[in-house]
Amino acid sequence: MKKNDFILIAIILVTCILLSAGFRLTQRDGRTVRITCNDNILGDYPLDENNEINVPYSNKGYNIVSINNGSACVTDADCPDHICVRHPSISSTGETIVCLPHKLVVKIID
Amino acid sequence: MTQQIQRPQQIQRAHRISMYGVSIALAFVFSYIESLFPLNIGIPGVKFGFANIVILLTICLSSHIIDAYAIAVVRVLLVGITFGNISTMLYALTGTILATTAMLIAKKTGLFGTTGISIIGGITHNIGQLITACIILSTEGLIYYLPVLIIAGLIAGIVIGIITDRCAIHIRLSTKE
Repeated sequence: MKKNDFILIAIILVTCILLSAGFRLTQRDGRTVRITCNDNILGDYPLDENNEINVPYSNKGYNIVSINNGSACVTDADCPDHICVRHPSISSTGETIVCLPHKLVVKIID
Repeated sequence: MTQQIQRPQQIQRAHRISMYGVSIALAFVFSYIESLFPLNIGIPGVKFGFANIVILLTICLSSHIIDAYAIAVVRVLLVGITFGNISTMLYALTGTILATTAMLIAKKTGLFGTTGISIIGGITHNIGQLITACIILSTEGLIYYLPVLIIAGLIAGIVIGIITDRCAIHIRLSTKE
């Protein structure tokens, strides 16, 4: 490990901390979640109403988005990796859950 | 100091071809083994990338830059085609090409050790994938993942870098006649 490697690590850590802090400061509690599939906006849903939305992908895929207690998450999907299902619930503005194979974006917009 | 023996061109070329075969096969198997143990967090693109040990070794030990690109790209294509994930292959492809370019540049400047190059590669790979996802999904909001992906790339880079460093020492020792 050369000296420059440690400098690099330090710079990266500092940048990360600054970025994180910046993001946190600009985030607020969200009120509406927007579901987008393949760049088409499917709908905006309020976070204070519990809801379950089945989002189909062409004619052979699906994701189920659930809204519960002011936060949204993906509770079920038939994509190959299931990263969207394992993602923790989102509730602050700007947070997103994506399903890359199904081109699904669940985003808190306000 | 051991002498640099000038090997005939044919032997050099044969050596290079066999290194390609071994490297691509090894990188491919690393990718497969890694896919058997998925990390259980919900963020796409976070992984150790053990296959990058092979690519990093190629960058450090080979004098031709095309070697690293060839092995990296062929590995991504092989993994994508074999495991049937052509749509997500695009993300891996951009990530790998950007990362390999960044690592080659880092190696050229001579400023960083193996671990530093690996860190640069890991972070560039993740940022490349993030940018690709932003473009394909038309969502700039994905930028919120940047701190997480940078840290993930950093940690993976350090681990891979240390492992590769140890391997490189042994390979250099064993190729001195």
